[in-house]
Amino acid sequence: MKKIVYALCLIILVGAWCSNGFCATARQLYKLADQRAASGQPDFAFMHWRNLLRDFPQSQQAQPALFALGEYYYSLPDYKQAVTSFESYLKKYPDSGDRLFALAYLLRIARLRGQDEQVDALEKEIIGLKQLGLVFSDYKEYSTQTPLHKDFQAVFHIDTITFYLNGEVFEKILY
Amino acid sequence: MKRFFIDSAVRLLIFFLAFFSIITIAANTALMVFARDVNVRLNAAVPGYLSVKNIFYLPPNVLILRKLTLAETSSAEPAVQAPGTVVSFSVPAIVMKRQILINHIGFSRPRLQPMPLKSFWAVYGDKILEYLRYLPKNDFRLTIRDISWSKQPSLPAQGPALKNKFDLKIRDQDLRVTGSMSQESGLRALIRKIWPDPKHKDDLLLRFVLDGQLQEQGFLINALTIQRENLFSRLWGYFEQNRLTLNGFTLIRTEPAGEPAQDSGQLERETTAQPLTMLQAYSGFGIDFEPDIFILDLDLRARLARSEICLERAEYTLNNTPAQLNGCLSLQEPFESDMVLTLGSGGGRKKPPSSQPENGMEVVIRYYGERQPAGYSHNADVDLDFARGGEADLALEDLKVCIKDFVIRFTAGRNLDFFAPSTKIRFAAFEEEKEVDLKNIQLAFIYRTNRYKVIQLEAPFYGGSVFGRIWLDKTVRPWSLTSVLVFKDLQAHVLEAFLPYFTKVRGHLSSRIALKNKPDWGLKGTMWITQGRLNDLEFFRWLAETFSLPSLHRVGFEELEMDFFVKPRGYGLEDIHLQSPDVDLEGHFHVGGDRFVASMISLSLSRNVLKESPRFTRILRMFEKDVPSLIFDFQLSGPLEAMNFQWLQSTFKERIQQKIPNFIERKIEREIDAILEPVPSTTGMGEDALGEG
Repeated sequence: MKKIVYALCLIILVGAWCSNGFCATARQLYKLADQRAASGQPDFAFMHWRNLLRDFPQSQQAQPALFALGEYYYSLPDYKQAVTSFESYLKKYPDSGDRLFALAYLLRIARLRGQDEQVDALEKEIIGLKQLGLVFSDYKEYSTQTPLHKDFQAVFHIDTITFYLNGEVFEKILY
Repeated sequence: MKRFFIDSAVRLLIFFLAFFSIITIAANTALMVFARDVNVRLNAAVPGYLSVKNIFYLPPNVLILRKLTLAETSSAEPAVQAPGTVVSFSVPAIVMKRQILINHIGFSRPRLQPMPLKSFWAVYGDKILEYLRYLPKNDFRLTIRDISWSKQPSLPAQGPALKNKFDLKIRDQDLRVTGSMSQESGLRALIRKIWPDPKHKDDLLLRFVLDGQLQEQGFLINALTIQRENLFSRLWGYFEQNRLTLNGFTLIRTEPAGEPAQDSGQLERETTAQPLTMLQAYSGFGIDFEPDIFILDLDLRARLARSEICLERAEYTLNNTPAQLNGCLSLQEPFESDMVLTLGSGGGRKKPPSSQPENGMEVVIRYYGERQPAGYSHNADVDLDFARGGEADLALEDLKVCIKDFVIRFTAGRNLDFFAPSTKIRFAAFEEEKEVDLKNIQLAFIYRTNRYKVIQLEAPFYGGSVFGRIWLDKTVRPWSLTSVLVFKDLQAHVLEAFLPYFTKVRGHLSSRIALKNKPDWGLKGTMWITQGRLNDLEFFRWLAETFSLPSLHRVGFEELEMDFFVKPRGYGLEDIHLQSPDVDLEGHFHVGGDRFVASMISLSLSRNVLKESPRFTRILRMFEKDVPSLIFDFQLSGPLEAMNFQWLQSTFKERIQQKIPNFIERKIEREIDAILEPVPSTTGMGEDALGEG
């Protein structure tokens, strides 16, 4: 009987440990983090993303996890860590489709920190990312949902780029 | 008793008179008899050929030499001819030391002949210098009055006569040399002779006074003052073993004499206080003009030899701009000269506190010349090193001007005329090296003016002509420059050297360009090109490649008119009007310092052009044949290398939109996107739900 109780306890403990992502795959970890983020628990989500990046740095899920880290640090706000994460993201995934939004975060942080030269350089990089040809439309729109479940939009007009985060103006570039 | 003394004095007087008369007659007779021997002895003692027609003795110690002639050889043309020369010698030295010590030589109205004198100096210069070096260091005086320079008989006599004096005195090792040259017309000189006017000052051409002290190997210069009508220079230093060291300052006024002086308050406000303070400080020296050129803090070291004068170091500030002069001037055939003047931030060792710092401009002028079979050849290299201003790569970085065989002539009205048969201009702009050849440049420098010094330029220029005028405002330090250039009927593509887009432009171009350097360098102008062609101009090439319109690679036109500008922070075209049978264009195109474009263009394309593109063929079908061309209004923006474009809303666009379904519009947009975005993006966070508005 005692043995059965010990076995049950062990199963419960391992189950609890695994349910917290301690024995999961990268996919499972990302799913856990995503669930936490969707339920408004970004701190727990952050722990899973961090674990994912530590244990599965080469996995497919590592790319959004690294972006998520930057986004999480930005929300704290811990701009220094956020910049490190986003810069690491841009360096590791130079052809990422979310490069535009990572740059938007970096631009926002640079502007908040009053780094004018950095602001200029980032604005130029963002402007250079997309060449527009507006024949019948007046603008082009690029959007994404971030790992922290925020709606990020970039609206490109002929001489303006506006970023919206959850429907609110996040950054604006005029040229 | 009294009578005895009177008689004795009279007797003594008569005795001395008789004695002197006998001595004078005897000596003069001997000199006449032995004139040939005297000439032979003189020739042995003096370098070259020296001849004296008559020598008269005047007791107690004066010799008068009549018709003295100095030449290279007895058969050569005289280098110096003096009708009367007075030589006095020391009687005690003859009696006590049995040595002839000459203590005064006075030349009156000597006549110098430049070419024979030059030749004489070339042959005997060294000997004369050596001779002078070993002369006994006794008190001595040399005076020369009214030197006249022989002119060629073919040349007419120019202007009024020159009056000149030279006086060198050595007494107890103290040295004083004075000289002057003034000018007075014959009639005025005659009137002054009859009614002398103590207030009258001669028209002074040059006056100098040197106070110094003889040393073992040279002399100290306590003060050397050089004055002209509009020049005052005070120098000090020493001369030792062919080396001259000088410090000092020079003040010059370039404005015409008699003109009202510039508002000194304005000068004080617009410049540093230094020049005005200097002027007040030196007013005690007798400077009766208000200078506008200040050469201060001179530090000069030169090597003087018979064959050449070399400036080893000459540093000074020119109107608060550091300057440096180096080089050599040859005094013998082929009279080579090579001088380098450096002006600006890098010139000179000293930099006054108010001088322009490293962001200023540096000018290096190298002059070199030599005698050629066809005459003396003057050449110059001017190197202007501009400080980089602004973020753009648009500012001129370096400008080199190489001028060959130029001629400079001073004239009364225009002040200075300059002619250069061949000039090469090389410069770096737009990160490229450029070169422009100019022939037969005629330039006039009008500097005897109050505020603005004017440079006027005329030259043939690549099949047309260029006329320019530059105004230098001297009330601003450093001087501000405003200029206007007018080009007429030249080949357009040659302007590629100035603006890279002109490589793609052909036609006959006329233009008016204004250039200024204050507060920043800037160029703007208007141009007209007729009967021309645009070859692969960026905008048309982009249209041609994007919309399959090959004829836009080469657009022939009847008239193209536009304004343009180049500033440190950008360049651009404004009010563009292009008229051609198939393409009309209006608008503006600006490129900022960050190479970002801001442009609005209205483009009209004829049916002939549009028919070339399958896309436009479909659009053309929507319009009646009586619509000869379609008008597209574009806005361009973004980086120059990857411009964004938008087809702006118009009735024409609305008409097309009404006639084509939305999915076709989206298809066209996607096709355009595919053209503009050749590299597909990789995976993200499941984004790029692409939307268009």
